[in-house]
Amino acid sequence: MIESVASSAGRDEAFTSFYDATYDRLARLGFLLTGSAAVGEELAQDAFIQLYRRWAEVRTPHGWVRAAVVSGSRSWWRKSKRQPPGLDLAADVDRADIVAVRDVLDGLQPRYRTALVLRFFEDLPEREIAELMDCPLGTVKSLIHRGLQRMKEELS
Amino acid sequence: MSTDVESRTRAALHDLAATMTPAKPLLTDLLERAVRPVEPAAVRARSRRHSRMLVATLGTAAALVIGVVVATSIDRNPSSPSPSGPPVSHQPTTTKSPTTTAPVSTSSAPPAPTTSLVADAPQQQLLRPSRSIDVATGAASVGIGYGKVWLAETATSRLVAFEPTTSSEVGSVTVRPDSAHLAFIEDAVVVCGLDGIERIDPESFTITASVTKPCASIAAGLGSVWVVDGSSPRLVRLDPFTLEQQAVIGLDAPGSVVTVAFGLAWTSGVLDATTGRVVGIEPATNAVAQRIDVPGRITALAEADSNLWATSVSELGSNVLRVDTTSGAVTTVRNSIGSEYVSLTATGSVVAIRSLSGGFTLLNAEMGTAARWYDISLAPDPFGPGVAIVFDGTTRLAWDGASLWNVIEWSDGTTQLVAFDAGWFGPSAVDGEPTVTAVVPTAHGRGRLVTAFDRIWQAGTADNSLIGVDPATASVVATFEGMPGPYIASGTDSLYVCGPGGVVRVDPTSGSTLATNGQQCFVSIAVGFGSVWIGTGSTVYRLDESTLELQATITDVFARWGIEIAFGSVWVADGEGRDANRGGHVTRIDPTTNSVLAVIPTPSRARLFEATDDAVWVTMEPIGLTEYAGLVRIDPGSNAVTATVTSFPVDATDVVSLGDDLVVSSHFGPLAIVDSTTATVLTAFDPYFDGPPGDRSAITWDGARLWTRTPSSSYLGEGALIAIDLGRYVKE
Repeated sequence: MIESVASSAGRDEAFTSFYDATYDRLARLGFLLTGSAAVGEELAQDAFIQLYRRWAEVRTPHGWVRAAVVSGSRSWWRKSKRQPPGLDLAADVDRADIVAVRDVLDGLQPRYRTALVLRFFEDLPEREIAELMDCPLGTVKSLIHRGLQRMKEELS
Repeated sequence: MSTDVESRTRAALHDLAATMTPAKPLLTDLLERAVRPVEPAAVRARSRRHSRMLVATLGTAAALVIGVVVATSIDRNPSSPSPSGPPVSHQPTTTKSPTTTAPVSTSSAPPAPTTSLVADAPQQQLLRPSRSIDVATGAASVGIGYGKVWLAETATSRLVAFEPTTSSEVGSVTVRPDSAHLAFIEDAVVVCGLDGIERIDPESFTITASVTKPCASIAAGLGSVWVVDGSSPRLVRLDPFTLEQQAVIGLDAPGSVVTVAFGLAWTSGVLDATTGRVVGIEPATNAVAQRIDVPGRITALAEADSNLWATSVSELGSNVLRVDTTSGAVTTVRNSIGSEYVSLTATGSVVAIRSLSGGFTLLNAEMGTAARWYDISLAPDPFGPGVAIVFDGTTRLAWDGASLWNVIEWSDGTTQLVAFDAGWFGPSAVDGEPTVTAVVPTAHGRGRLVTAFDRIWQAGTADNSLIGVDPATASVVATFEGMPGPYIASGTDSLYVCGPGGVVRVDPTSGSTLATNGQQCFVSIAVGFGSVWIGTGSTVYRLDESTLELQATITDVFARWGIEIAFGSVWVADGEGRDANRGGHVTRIDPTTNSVLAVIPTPSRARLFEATDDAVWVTMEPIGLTEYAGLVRIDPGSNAVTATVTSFPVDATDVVSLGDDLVVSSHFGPLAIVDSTTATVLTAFDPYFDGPPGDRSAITWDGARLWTRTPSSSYLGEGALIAIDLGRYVKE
């Protein structure tokens, strides 16, 4: 069974190309959303596994796996809150803005964090964020506004 | 918000992401998992971390074996996110033994299956002691009995008693060296240490019995004194008056702590580096009645809300455990607060935990969620700057019914016995204040709660169910599946549920669908004037109450939140204002003409309504972090805002009327009670001790109690509905 799946995957060049092109960014998205590199990787991998099962029917795979990671992070926050407590950060990182953004993210509620990451890492428009987060557009605007205020305080 | 902040945020986020180098599995390896059941991501990650920790810590082949055992146990954790994985049942490893003396075992039995709950407190607060007493350094433990606070001072070999309200010393007695543990029995205080055990008369401060037996923990109850020495696998039972030995009960491993609860004497031992065991002894037979394996070495045991609660330490870290002695199930509280939990005490439904780092966590034992997190390590007044808590090994806690007592050794060399008052335990500790009186586990829902047809209704669950709770019995009595969304309203004889899937009319008794309409709604739905009114963003649709056929369409109305029927009109909240930065609007619609009567400007975006005898009240979305958030009163005569209430802790969401007063909920903060006459906040309270942020926005009033719900992180499962007795705030 494993061999047959592997060989079928090998034949699916489109999926392989998509995986190679997208995996790192998706794992990093999970990392920013959860604060954990390990969880970020696992969320990305889960998303690709789910995508593989639906590859034939998914028309916009990038949006699909992104939504899967956002959804997975939401579940993770709901049930495994703040494990680990903060963003994993390489020890040699000392740029003030990076530390500031990390600290702000660590201090934000998950909804604020998700909105900020989707807006400024994924560069999604607010309406698309609202759909991903399943909340009104106005709420997304508020979340981003408040998150940026925190960021402004930290950066200053 | 300046674009500079946005650009710097964007750049910093990308830079932060770039610090992570993702481990990328081979696609073939990854897809291998596609053909077998998927483990939840976070579980795998957690297991991997724990396994890595084990390897790093122990570094032996044996450790690897243990790591597999532990990881396997954790993998069965059902509370980890499982978007697609099947639920797993849990079989506790409780065993019954008929033998009086349990055999000593060195085998490393796998730890009991544990479930996890997240005790993530909402915010850290400085904890300021209300009283403090300077004591000798080396105070080992504190206990409450006979109206006094008792302190065992190992440095001075004294047992000292204080009057709790005046903090004055009322007596002392010299005891054996290293006497560090206390228990209270009829007419006596028992103090013990490695050198022996002594019985003290609490009035005369004289020693009335003494025995030379090593003691590492002591408890009194069930007609005896129970002692473990921490090094030998036995529990010693003593006569409470003479301290003569009554029995010696063999254990699987040396006991570390002992307590009495639920008709048994409980002790705990260490089986191996990662596993401990809680053992219950039947006093009638001195036989081991229960064995429950737990992660780590137990450092404290206490009874609260029908469970044993424990702190434990292992190479994997420190845990707070809830042990269900009936089923043997062990719940691990994954507490992000503090790093090493060393002491625990319980009072009623509150469990207080102290970590070495100086943090207190208060858990709601009934709901299993964090109540408060207090940090005493930051040296609040009156201790002055620069003084921090240090590790002192004297972290025993005691609860006297009004205060939590703790010995704290400070970095300036002083030691104090301090009391923290019950105020921060929450209003439930105070007569007449709001109190949780029922918790009903349910699937977690969204949208408003509705009281109708003698039920509390909730929709918006993951499986699109509509749940009905009987408020009299506090139990789920109806579950209707296939709902189109989370928003509910009640009519003459039906419930109406709407959402992205349209609108349905539901028979509240049978759950059968009586009518449908495919028109989706946002938050807004209300029933009045023979119609169902739904908002869809920019349009309000009027549907026939019986058939749900379209009757009218009112356009150019911002309708993203609430709709209310009051004063002969339909009131619509914008939820997203015409100008997002300049407040919001409430639109008043005349149902006789289906036209807009008035557009009433509000300070912020309007959310949800409640009508009282002379006004329409509507909650407001906050603007920014600290700007307007609250409640406004609209005078239906003038169509103008005539009062504002802004002193809410966070953001106001839902509002219900109790008559003279209103209750206002918020997403992240406490509930508030507002005097509708004076438009002032009477009190704010957070009675259900739930830490994580979540949807607390829904409230409903059943005429006797307020109902709301917990976030989904409660150990009760997906969520719960909670009934709150509002106490003195409910007027006759």
